[in-house]
Amino acid sequence: MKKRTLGLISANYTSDELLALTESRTVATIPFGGRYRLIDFPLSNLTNSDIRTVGLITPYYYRSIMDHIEAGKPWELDRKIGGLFVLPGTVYGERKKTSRFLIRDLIRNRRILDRSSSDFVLMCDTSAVMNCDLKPFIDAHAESGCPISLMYVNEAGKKNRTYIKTDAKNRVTKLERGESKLTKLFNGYLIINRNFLLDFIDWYKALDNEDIMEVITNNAEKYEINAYECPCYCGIIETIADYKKVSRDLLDHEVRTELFEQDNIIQTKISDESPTIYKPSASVKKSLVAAGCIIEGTVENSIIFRRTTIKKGAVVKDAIIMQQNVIEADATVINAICDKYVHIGRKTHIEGSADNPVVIKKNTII
Amino acid sequence: MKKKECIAMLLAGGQGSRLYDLTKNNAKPAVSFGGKYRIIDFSLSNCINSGIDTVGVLIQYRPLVLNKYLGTGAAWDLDSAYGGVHVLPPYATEEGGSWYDGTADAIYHNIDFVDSYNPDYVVILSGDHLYKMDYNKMLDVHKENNADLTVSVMEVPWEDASRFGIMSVDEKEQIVKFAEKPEKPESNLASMGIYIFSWPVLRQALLDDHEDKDSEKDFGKNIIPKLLQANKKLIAYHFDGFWKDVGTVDSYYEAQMHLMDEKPEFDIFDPDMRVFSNSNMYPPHKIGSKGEVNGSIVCNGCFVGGKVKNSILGSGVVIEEGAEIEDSILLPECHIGKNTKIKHAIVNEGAQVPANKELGNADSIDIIS
Repeated sequence: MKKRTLGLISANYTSDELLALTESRTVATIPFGGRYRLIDFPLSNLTNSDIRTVGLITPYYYRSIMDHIEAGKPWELDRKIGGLFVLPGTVYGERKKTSRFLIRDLIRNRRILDRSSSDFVLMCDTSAVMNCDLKPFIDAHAESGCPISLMYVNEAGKKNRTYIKTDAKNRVTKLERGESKLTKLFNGYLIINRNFLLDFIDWYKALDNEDIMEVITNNAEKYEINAYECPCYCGIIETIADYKKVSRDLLDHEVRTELFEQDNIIQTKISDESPTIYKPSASVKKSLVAAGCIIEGTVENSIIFRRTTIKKGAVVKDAIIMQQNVIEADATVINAICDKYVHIGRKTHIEGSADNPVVIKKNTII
Repeated sequence: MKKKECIAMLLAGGQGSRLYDLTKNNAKPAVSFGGKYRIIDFSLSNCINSGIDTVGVLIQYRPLVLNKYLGTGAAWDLDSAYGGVHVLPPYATEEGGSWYDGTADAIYHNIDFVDSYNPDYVVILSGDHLYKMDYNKMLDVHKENNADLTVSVMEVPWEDASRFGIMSVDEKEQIVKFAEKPEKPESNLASMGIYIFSWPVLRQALLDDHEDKDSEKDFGKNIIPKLLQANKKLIAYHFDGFWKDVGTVDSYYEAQMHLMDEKPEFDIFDPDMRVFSNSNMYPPHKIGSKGEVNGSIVCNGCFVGGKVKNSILGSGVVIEEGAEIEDSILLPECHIGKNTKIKHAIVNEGAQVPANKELGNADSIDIIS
């Protein structure tokens, strides 16, 4: 019999490593790829994999995320049967701000787990950029008979993430957090049997300040854990360097095709922008440009978000320019990330380096 | 019963035969316009932007694309529990079935639908016109004058007047004479095919006209002249914005190329009166490392590997490397093969144009399918 799966997305975490991008928002609502936000990827992956009931653990300050998700319509989560369940997250302290699956967030929202009749709970964070059919992951989990399955990608050298050591049968033998010589990187997607999860949060309710992944990491040898290799492109965004790298990956034809030109579509809030206008003076190479822009200047190797204006003589190179920026005439923006509503004045020169891009805060006028 | 003050009836059953291949598989209101829109988007967006949340859409000719496109009406915020978009095709009764036999006949067969909302006023619209208009202003004029019918009119060049329904008005803007496509026009005030009727008056007029065996069951030819004859109060409402009925391939092409003017007369880019559309979810478009785009409009989902000049690329268009597009309109989802050159042409929706072709000519607008 087909096993049923409940989705649970944790958006209740942030990071200092993303500098100005997370100053006024959590990781979940970081704008990405011209028209998306990071939360669009887990929401689309879950719903594209026939998971019709999705609980969303919100950040304590949830204005930005609710503004984006509304009733979940783009993901067809505005349902009578199942649909989107908004689960208020708890306030995290400074030490726990990067924890994704806080036990107390689950305890507080235990009702959704109690009421559900599903066999499995697929939990994920919002830091992975991928377009992944999760059905084979769920099938592999069911077949493994393990109470827990973790998805991994092969990528070494990430700090503050969990690495996986496996045996020949893909069973987890060890988990390591932080700097590790291992290369199987947990990508934030895990499946836990619902009954096991209910027991688990009971056992550890005295440690409700812990992250489930912390507990699993420290007790890896106690549980049977299955490891599953992510079958597709997966860009994990923890730092501003990651953000720039994964954004630049989108300019690669194969990555763009894999993420955006599949039968399964990454959905986002629809804003009904008009098309983008290129004036006769425009010169654009190797860039992604969203709708509603007016381009008069030169753009190269960059990502331009919705409703941005790049005036005549302006040069934008190796940059990520978010929604509703205005780059005035003859300004230069190189190796920079401009958050929403930034206004760069005439003849202003802004230049970062490839390793260290300039990050300009939302609403800045220069 | 709960009441709607004003509902709209949108005539969307026309073929638009002079658009040739563009309407081979779909009705004219479903023809693509301006890259990401379909023509019906403008009327539907006008409705919701004017606060009219109940729209009956009369369909007949090749309705598949149109039906799928309308969906629940959610794309235009027209998915209400009481109101919203209703698709109204011709139907059979115990006396048999028939097609809609004229614009007035289409409304006649849906009197029950209109009655179910018990409206005071009904706006009659065409689904194939390009314009942005606040119907509320027109409704205010209708109410102030206590009119039976208000007709939206605009001044057209005298030499074009014989192509339109022409109104003659008195000093109080009351219509005193109406001539459908007159040879010698007495006025240059043309009807735009946008009418606001007081529903009881229209209801009775439709019932009477249905009994008239000689009637062509058309608003312009029959209903309006009869109301004039019966001394009903007909008021002209002057509209001075952009309005166009793109009847031919040439006018369809011209209207779109003007979107690229420095200050386009038909401003689809103005965020104040947004045009909504039911577009698929596409990622931002990509300009390749050998791509070039100048003086053009590009929609989401496109890939531009070649050169594009003074052209419109609809959603999801792919232009492979080496291809050159000039003075052309590429409708959604078409694919242009490597090194193909297209100049002064329209490429139909979903067309697959092979590599190494040279298409289009300067004298006329070819439709490449």
